[in-house]
Amino acid sequence: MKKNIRIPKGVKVFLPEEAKKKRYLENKIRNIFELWGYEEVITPTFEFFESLTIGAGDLIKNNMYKILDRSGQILALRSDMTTPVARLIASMPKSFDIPIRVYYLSNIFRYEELQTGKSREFYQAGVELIGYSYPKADAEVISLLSSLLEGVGIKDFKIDLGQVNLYKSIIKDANISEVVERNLRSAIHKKNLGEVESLLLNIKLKDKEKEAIVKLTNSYSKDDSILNSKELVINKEGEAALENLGSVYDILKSYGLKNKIIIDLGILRSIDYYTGLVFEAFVPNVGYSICGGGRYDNLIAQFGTDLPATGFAVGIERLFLALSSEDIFKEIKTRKKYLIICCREDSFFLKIAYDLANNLRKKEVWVEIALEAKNEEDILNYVRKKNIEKTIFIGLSEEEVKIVDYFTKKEEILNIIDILAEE
Amino acid sequence: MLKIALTKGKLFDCALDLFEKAGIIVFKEVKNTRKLSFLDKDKNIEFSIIRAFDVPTYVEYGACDIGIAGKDILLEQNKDLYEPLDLKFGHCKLVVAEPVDIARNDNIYSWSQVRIATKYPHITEKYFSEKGIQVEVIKLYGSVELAPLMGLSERIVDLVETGKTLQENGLVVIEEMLDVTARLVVNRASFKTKDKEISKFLNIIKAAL
Repeated sequence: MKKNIRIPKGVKVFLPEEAKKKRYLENKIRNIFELWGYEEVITPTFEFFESLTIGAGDLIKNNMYKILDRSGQILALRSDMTTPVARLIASMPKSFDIPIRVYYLSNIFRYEELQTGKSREFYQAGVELIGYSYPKADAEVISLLSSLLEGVGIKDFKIDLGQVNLYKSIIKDANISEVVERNLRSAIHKKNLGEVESLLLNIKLKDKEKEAIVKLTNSYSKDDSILNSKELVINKEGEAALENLGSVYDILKSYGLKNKIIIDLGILRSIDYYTGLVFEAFVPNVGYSICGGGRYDNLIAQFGTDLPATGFAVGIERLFLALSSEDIFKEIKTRKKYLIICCREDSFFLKIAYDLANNLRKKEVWVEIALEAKNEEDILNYVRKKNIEKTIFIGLSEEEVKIVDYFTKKEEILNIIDILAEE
Repeated sequence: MLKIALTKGKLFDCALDLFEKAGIIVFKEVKNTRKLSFLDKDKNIEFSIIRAFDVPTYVEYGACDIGIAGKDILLEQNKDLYEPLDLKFGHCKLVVAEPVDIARNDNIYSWSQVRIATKYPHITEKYFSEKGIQVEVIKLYGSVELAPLMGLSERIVDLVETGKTLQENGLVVIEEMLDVTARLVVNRASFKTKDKEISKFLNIIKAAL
């Protein structure tokens, strides 16, 4: 039996073809982020558990990979990038000018239950826009998201907009237990109106507030008409939340995104963490959201520097799913590839082979040097499989090399001195 | 096109009746065939017959846009799905049951380290841990009533409609945990990306309820 060839559950390898696609996709995304003025940051793979869990709920804490280091301190693998970036910015605010626009392409680790379509190591691309709480900032990252999706070749997508402060404003003064609140939130999230109504029967809220909750559960539309619903607003905070959502929506309209946006007031993404506008992106035929984001104005302050912020993260694997039927990977350039076969184990000819290979590499040609001379049939199979444009034989005679293109069956004989002199 | 996951068994007839009332005729041959997938070209709907416990998975992954599943299964699997409609059929109860002779002087709050056999390990564990009662849950795939008879466990948690099966096996209900009905569930991404089709479908079903 082969030993030690297994890998832990929930992680994966990328074979050359897949790795090529992944890098290609990531480079496209990187380019788009940079076109929008965002700069890359790289943070450590593991940090102190304590700093990665600032502002995190139990669920996130439980899902982290923890490590005890030799001095007995608890470390953890990052389970998202927003918290490490927040810590980074807070630790050296003077190194950045406001607004701070940063992006990352990174692997993330979570101890997820398996067989739920989730991995334990996965990849994210995302941005954070830090320093402003204006609706313009929220609208910018959403437009950037839309530009990213279009840029990688996804035309058909929908972005869901919500505002968690509306819900927060309604239950602000309700004296309800954490468990009941969580059940209510979950029922709203599931758009389970019946459940919401039955939970409300046992919650001490004014009728007006209950009506607002019911209305909120039912509020999703492709235009901003629901933003005028008076029943949703029961106090100043609620009014501000709706106004904020309206402003962002209006700016997105000027970005030309009206047809991509769905307003859904029932989105209650991690409300302990988000403090305002939240959003998700969906594409047909992928059952999950492929991107999530929102405003988190309290997180960086918990590291000691008070800065409002918004951002999003796209799941690279989920983007792959969305792209499986798209043609963008056809754009991956296949480079010229040469194979040099030295037919004689002789230092004179080997040196010629190495010199020739290096000359070609300087011209950006991909060159492989065969490690042994093979028979014609093996060469043919290899050349076909690896899509090798030219095969160069050295050492067939003292003065000449043979260059074969096995696809066109063309052969050339050139003088060694000429080919080495060629620039 | 909308892809709808149906399940054979108790919920099937009710679902067909409801669809018929809503003007969606699910072809008669469905009932007496082994084919598992049907296309309604007029309505642009594809129906698939899926095992009840698999419906939430199909819908969560987006392999089906819409599904009909019992609340028991939804709670047990706790998938991230929209659950906009209670279809109000398939009424059942999830209960704790035990042999008649134990039940005479029994009270769940007096339990410590009690064994429970069930098809619903998650619901069972959550239910008792919220009450601070320690139980050992044994996951079974069917005929749960047999467990007390064979001495596998003293108690069971199971779905009952009339209670007849329990009675025939000498078991009585000592605790009702949950009322169960059939629910319509929708994939979250489909809800947004096929919004027109889905809201139209939801409206005609709502009207037929």
